[in-house]
Amino acid sequence: MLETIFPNVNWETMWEATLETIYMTAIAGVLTFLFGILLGLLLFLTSKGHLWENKGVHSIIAAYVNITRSIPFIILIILLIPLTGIIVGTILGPSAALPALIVGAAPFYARLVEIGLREVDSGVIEAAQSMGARHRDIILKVLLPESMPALLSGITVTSIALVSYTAMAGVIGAGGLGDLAYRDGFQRNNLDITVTATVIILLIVFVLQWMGDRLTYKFDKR
Amino acid sequence: MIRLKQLSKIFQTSNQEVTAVDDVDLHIEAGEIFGVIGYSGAGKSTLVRLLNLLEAPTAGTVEVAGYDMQALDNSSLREARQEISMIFQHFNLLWSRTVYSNIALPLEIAGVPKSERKKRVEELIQLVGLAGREQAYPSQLSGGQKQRVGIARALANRPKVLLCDEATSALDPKTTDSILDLLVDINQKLGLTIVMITHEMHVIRKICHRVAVMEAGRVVEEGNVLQVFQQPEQEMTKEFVKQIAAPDEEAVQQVIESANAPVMKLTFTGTRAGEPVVSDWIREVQVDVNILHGKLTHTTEGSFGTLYVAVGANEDQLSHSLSFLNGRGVFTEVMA
Ligand SMILES: Nc1ncnc2c1ncn2[C@@H]1O[C@H](COP(=O)(O)OP(=O)(O)O)[C@@H](O)[C@H]1O
Ligand SMILES: [Mg+2]
Repeated sequence: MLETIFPNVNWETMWEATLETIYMTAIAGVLTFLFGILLGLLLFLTSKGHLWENKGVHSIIAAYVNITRSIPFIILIILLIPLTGIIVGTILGPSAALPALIVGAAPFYARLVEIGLREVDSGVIEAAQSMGARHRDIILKVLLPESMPALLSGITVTSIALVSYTAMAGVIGAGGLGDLAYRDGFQRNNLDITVTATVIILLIVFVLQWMGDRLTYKFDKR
Repeated sequence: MIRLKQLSKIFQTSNQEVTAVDDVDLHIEAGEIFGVIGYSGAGKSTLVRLLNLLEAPTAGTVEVAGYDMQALDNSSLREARQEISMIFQHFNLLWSRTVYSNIALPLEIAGVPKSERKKRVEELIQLVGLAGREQAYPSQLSGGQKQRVGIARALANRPKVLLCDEATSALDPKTTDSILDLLVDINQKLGLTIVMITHEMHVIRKICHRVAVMEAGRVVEEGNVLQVFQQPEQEMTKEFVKQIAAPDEEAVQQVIESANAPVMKLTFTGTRAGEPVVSDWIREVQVDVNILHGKLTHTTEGSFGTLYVAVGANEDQLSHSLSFLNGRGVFTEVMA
């Protein structure tokens, strides 16, 4: 039955590609979450009227974020090939895609983090200061928990963007569903492979969105 | 407990300078409930934020709870702030934390161990009357309950001073009164010094011992609440006092004209609360008294206001009444 509809699909290869996509998205997602929060915090805290107000540092970070965010991902990957070689030790395979994925996604997420932090009621920060809170307390006990729903919905959007980034990472032989759909599907004219890979990518996106929504809802006590 | 000397705060905005607090000298005693009243923009919030150095003074000195605030380094300032708590108009609770962990926050910040924290939070929940609501989130509470959490949180580290910035301004009158009662209770039980910032005269008269009136960054009048009520010197103060103690003139005129007996105006200026002057008078002089109009208000130190009464009395009884009432500290005149 399956073989008549999908004559060219090798299910083992498809499964492997699926795992590669999930692997790239998951690892890049977790690291993007961490780096994005760090960058977003820095952007927020160094901006005018906030704890570490510093015009110089703020402009440098903002410039970095804006530049990396505006370079098309496909070009970013190519630009980062040398760096990837140094960090990962190879420029091929799913792991080789990680630096580019993170460098591409973290600034995007950082902006979402910054927006989320701006929404935190300044009165609450003031209340914490009036209690004698250290900056560490303000960040860990006030800013991050109070912006958690925004941080979670932001990482949901970012992870979904990461899924499509992984597809482009095929150009450096990263593997994954996008790579499979392009090489085995498009280039060899096997429509069934392209369709199957696309459907699985869609499923991954739906699951991510669903998990993200659940998590955001769970943390939102407003 | 609090001593401000020539305190000023000038905000530098892009196109102008705003003098929010202008050369303020104040001395607030330990255990006192001190009110600061003024219209919006008078500089009250800035003044209160100068007390815990949330705002850095442009000039002058701030001494609170024995600390020369400006001399403290960062870490000593944080410790001093644990003794100078603050509650806010909009409560400023963390919506991500339950009632319990909102109250625990200042204890976490102060590094109190978990078991002690638990004990202290439970005490505080009892103190502010929120037993049973520990696990609720702020979004599930009424305004009054939120302010109770705010108060419990402010008391967590056993502060010496409690700063209240419009703490009742977002509440309805009944809830306002219950929060004010709680603050008085805390003031008496814990001997806490309270600074009440407000634009409502009601708050001042209900719980404050002394009051400062602020206008355009300056303290224009200061003194015992009763004294300021009796002899307001500044126009501003008179306006505030009028809000709660002066009967409106038109109504008085009407009442006097339509009365068919002599009308007397009784001015209470700090009669001891609870002293039944009027009923003593009726019994003593044996007159019929019909209350026509009045506006009386009670401060922490006595009643204050005016009362218009029609008196069914002959000449003798009238003069007897005058001497009786004036003898009891109620300034009395016959109007018509
Ligand atoms: N951070 C600030 N920057 C510039 N101006 C300010 C700032 N905070 C307060 N002001 C100004 O200072 C004055 C007093 O404000 P505020 O202390 O909030 O008054 P109140 O609490 O009595 O309403 C106002 O004119 C206000 O616009
Ligand atoms: Mg104010």
